[in-house]
Amino acid sequence: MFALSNPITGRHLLGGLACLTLASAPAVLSAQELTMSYLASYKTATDQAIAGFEAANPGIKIRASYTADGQSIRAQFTTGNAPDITLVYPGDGAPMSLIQLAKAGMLEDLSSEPWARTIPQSFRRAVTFNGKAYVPPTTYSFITMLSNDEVMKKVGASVPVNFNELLAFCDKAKASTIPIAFGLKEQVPTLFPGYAMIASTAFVDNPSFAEDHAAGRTNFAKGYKQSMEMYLQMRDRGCFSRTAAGNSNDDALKQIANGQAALYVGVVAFLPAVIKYNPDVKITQSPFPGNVDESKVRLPIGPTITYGVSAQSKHKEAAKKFVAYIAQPDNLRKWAATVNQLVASDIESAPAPAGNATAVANLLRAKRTVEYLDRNWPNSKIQPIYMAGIQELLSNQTSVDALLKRMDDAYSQP
Amino acid sequence: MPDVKVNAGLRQALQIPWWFAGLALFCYLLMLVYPSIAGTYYAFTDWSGVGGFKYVGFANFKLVFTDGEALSSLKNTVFLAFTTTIIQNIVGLSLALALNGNSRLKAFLRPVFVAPVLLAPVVVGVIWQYIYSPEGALNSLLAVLDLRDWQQPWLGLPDTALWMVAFTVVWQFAGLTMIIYLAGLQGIGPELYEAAAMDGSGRLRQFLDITVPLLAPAVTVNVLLPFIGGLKLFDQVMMMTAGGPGYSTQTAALMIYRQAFTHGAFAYSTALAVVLTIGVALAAMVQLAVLRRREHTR
Repeated sequence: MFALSNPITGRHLLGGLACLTLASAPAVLSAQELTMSYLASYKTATDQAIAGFEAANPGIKIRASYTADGQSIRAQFTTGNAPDITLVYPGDGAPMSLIQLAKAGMLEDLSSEPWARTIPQSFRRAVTFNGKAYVPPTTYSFITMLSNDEVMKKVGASVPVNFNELLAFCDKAKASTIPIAFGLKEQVPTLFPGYAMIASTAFVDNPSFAEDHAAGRTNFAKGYKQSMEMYLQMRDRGCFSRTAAGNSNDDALKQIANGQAALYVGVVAFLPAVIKYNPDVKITQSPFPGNVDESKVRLPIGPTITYGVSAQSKHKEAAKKFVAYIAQPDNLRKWAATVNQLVASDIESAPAPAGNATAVANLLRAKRTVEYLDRNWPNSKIQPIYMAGIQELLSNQTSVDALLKRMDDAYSQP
Repeated sequence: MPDVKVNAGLRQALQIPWWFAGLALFCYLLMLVYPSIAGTYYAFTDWSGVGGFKYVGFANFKLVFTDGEALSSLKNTVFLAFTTTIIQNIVGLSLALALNGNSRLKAFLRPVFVAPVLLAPVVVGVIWQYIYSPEGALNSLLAVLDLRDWQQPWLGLPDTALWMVAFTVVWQFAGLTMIIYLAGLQGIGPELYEAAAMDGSGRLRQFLDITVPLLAPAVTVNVLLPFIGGLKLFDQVMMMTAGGPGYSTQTAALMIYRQAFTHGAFAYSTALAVVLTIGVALAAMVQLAVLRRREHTR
């Protein structure tokens, strides 16, 4: 009677609206919204994982943002505005690497999580610091040499299996095609042939080179010189195109995909991009022949980026839940398939990589592998010096000895 | 008494702009001056951007002047600042002289040359990166002109990359220089040229004795702004070469960014930023003093 006998005014409407808002407020407040910062190249895999996690945990939402190289995330930590879940590079050697962040107390210790009890032995050093586990191992990647089968047939050559064969291949192929597609305008591509040659020289002569280096028993000048001289030999024998200095890595991927180049050296994660540029292309994967003796060729390999929980997070339990979700074998397998990498827990059984990759699979099975070099470097200054230095070396702006000295100086810095 | 009221009102009216200025000044001090001064403190530490730090005195500043990369970056920065300032002024003044007048064609061409100024430097960097790429417009043009031997990976060679960056900066900002010179030219009364012509002065003599001296204030602005801009150059370099090949196009501003966010050397980066700031301020003050004196002696 009351409601009917009184006209409904604007004030009543406002009051009703306020009551409705208050009634719905607890539901809104109960949902936790986490923030995450990750690499743009892993967006598809991460978005899929987030969708699966949110479906399994209706009270938790994750707002992810992606960056090209993760550099800005370090600034977020600096300003006290770190995301709840962050990308972390395993090992050391980069501003966002596990050891750099853990040393500064920026990461939450996740040693008590269930996945921490099943970390494969070969990944333990990459995901722990001072005996504590901070991130789950996700996948591992390797540096591979892609060859365009059709171009190789046109050149009339087989895939080179040692360094002398590679140089001879360049001599033969350069008249009709680009022997090796190379994006030298960017710095990161310099790592790929470089790491492959170092793995097959310095680490063959001394398999414990990294440990000896850390203990001060050797240095870059002693170990890396041969690989840099090999780089110069490749340039002088015409392995790279005249325009390589102006090409990006993406240009190089298009060259191998479209048959303008015979070979490409890079991480295996680039293979889907090659196939995207030319779905009909036939690609064979091989180890880069970084030694004159085929039996000494090694495959550079390493754990890939993973997820950590910020020590600054206000939603640590929810963030840990997401990390645990990613670490579940089934979820990790889906994630790995999307980024074309091998699941960390499979490393001991060494399954064959996708595609035509027999030679690579043989090396993985034989454990003729060397961990990515920068993962054992003590600071994040060395890698940029190496990358810029190789660009300088190949454009005659520096000498091998001068570059090695700069790297040794950087290694001795904190 | 009405006079008193008027004066009070006038005083009140005059005080209003100070309120506005006060607010802007407060924001400026809070958002720019305070963080800059507070940030300078970190240049005397070993802070890596996260975690604790300790005082290291002038170690970072000493490193700035002994580090080959830093010296190379400072050299590139000074080269770009001088090159772009000189070429931009030559091009800008030439355009201003050519387009000074009232014809329809000149009125049409003026905004055409100013248009690049309106683009974001990042966009300009991306556009010219494509133009200079091995398969880009510049090499295609050379192919059309049957000059294939001249084709180069323009941004990939240390001999050409820095010049390409300088050219791009000039392309973008020559229009702005032109506009400032045009304003100066249009402030010169035609009677001066008429009197000089009656005295038998030729075009060159008129230019040297009338145009150049009376353009002195425009020269001050056109030298100062590009030079300071050149010393702070970041966006175009980042987009076109990212400082490469090697460090051959890396500027001081780019190195500051890299040291902080790639190397995690925030303290060293801050020391570099302090050196750059002092360098820019000193260069600006010296230039201003010299150019102002020149304005007054003419």
